[in-house]
Amino acid sequence: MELSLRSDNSSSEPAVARNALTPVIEFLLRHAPFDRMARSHLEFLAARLQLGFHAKDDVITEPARGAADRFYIIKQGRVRGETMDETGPAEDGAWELVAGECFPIGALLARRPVHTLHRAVADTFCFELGREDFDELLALSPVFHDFCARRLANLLDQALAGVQASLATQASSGETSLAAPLSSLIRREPVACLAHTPIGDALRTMNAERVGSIVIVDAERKPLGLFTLHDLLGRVATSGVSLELPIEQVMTQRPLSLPPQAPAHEAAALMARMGFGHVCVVENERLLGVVSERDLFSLQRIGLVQLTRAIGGAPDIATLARLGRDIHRVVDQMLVQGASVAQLMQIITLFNDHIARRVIALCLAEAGAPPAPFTWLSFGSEGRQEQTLKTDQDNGILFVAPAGKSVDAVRAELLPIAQRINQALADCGFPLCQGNIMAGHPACCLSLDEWKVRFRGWIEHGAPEHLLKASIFFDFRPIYGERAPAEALQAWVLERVAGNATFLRQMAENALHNRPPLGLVRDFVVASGGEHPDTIDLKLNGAVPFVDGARLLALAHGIAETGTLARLRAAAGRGVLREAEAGAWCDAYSFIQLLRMRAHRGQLSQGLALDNHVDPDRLNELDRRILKEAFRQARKLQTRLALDYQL
Amino acid sequence: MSWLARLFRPQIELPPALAERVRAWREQPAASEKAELSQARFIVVDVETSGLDTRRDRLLSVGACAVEALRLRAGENYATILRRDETNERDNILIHGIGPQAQAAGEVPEESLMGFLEFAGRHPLVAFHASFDQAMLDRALRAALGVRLPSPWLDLAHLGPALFPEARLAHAGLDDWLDHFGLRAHARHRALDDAFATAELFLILLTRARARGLTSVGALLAAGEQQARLVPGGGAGGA
Repeated sequence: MELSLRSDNSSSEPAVARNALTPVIEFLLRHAPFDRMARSHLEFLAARLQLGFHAKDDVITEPARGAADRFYIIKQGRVRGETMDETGPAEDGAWELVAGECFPIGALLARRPVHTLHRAVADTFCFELGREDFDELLALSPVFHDFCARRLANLLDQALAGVQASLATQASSGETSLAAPLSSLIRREPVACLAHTPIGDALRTMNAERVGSIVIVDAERKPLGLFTLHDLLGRVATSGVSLELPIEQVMTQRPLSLPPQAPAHEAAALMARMGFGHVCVVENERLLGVVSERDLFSLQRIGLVQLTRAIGGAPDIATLARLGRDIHRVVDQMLVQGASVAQLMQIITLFNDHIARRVIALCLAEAGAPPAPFTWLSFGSEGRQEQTLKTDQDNGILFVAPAGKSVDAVRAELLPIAQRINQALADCGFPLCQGNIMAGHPACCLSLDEWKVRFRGWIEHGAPEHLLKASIFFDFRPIYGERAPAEALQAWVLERVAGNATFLRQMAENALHNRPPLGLVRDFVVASGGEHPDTIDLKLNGAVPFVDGARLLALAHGIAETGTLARLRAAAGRGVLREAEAGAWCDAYSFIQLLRMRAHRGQLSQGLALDNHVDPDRLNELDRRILKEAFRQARKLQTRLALDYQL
Repeated sequence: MSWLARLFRPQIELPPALAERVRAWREQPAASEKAELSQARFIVVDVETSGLDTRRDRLLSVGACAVEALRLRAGENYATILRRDETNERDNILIHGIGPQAQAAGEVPEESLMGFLEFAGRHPLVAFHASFDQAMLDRALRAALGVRLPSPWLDLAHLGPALFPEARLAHAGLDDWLDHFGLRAHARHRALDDAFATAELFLILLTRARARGLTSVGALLAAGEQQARLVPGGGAGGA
């Protein structure tokens, strides 16, 4: 057909086109993202491409070849990506790429070796682009850049799914939890009594401790028997036994027992076999705890509603403290069920809000009416609704002095109440703030005008300590009391800051302080000494760059949101950020927070103090890879700020 | 070049600028046949002509692209149409598609061919039915610039059967080989597109050659020549 169609004029073009890229460009135009790229960028790309041939079964890229230095576009043929685990190629980790598809992107972006082995499944031609040209094209073409950034986002999605899958196999819930050792299911000190204890006393103990069972032990705490509420019905209430009799007469003898290392499924099997709902966990013949059927299967039933109601109706601080621990279990459960990090942080914050409100209400009930109406403010991560399990108190009071009463007089009366509240919160598991950012401190118990004066000072001076304070205080949110004064204060801050270029620039400088710990030689830069050698501080170097960046974007563009994700999305909504950019940053931030939560969870289960340090060498391959990508995103955000503020 | 050859070389008066370019081209060092295949640069060539008679038909266009270090370089290629003022009735316009207007709009042959020489340098040349391309180019180069191409030619019509005897394509044309490997020329019978298609075939042959233990340019040339002696003629005439 070309013979007859080709006439005089059509063939005049090769006379001048010395670099005839047309065939390459026409190929590219048939595939995304090249079909959307500007012509000049396509020409840039086409002129730099090299075509290589890979016979069937040849390896095109593999981890052993060092940092990825070529970008491949399949022209013809098929390529399989094979992910590797310790033992070799993972069967389910393989996927095929066909003509028009590209690889590897993440490795090139991160300047690291590929993690996937790419193999030609059929005779295959690939166009190749050298890494420097790839970088140049990224800078040149927004379409290409977005394409690569979005690829990364998909990678993050995969990783998040992977993390949840791995948690599901570890966690103490549902079927999969049955692999957990019994020791991890013991919720409290066992309630026990001696064999000669009168039935009535044992029942009173059970009632006071709110437990459904009591273990009868000897003087060495060796379990002799068990008595449950179920037994009460059959052996005591309906048979007219005197409550003065010793408990040993109605107990079940030789209760089921298992060592603490035994997996939960063994306990479940034992219960099912013996028709008995409780198992004693015993080590060296000594009682450690009791695991009930409910402990094994009830996690799914800790409802959010139920917990919320329980907090709202808690009669005292001790009850609240106990409920606070239940929050951890709910979070665990949700983590396993695949809740997103944003949801988890919101849930934690929600419960912490409930607890704070209940604590305040209980303290006020005790102290009597406050001298003036006040709004309880949360700052920092609680203000941003981004709490993880490790949360110091950051709070304050915004009060309105009634007519005829001086601000100082009101403060003097409010402070003791606020201090009680701070202490009660500490009793509920929210440690006192080292930096005295607490309502019980005079500097954090202010009227609206005083807050404005304090904030204005920071905005006008912008010294490092002011910026640090601004980064905590400007993320505030009302928890208790009238919202209106807090909203007035927030509107005032936004107006003040958005009009102050100097302060914004100083905040930008501050936001660039915590650099993501990416190294040139090694993957990560870890702390070389100090309290946590060879670790990365996920909060300081991972989450903080996003939090600071998002705050700055919000303040500079009058965005009233306080959450980091909400701020980034709002910035994209207003065209301040590109959607793909904001999406990638949200993903990266969420992943870092997820790693933090998982680290906390591990520390809790080992009874360690919570901190934010992880040793990258102890992360699995996928997490390491994604964490690095996430840090790269943090770096991109900082680069963006540096550009915006010419730093 | 021997004194005899120098004596019988057609004397052509070139404008000084062109003479200087020819001199510069001649002074480039010739590519070594010892060069590793994994590094060597080859120039893949295709020509379109007014017919199949290498003594009487004329060269109409040349397309060439570069393969270096086992990669076809998309951005490094050369395409030219040689200018001619009147078209001949024997012209096979229907095949090569270069009509009278295009031929009239082409470059003057000296310029056209000088550009080819500069693109090709002294690297080994690759073509399918290379003897045809070689004869047409040599005649045109001698007439226009008074030079011969000293580079060795690698004929894929020979190298193909030598490396892929199982394909049973000993006397086949380029289209058969393209079909065999599922290759598609962007548009056949346009010199540059044919050169690209030939280059893709060459990449496949290079991979097989290396797998067969051939590592140098010389070894590859020898494999092609051995096949040429084995199967004289190599295949049908050039297209």
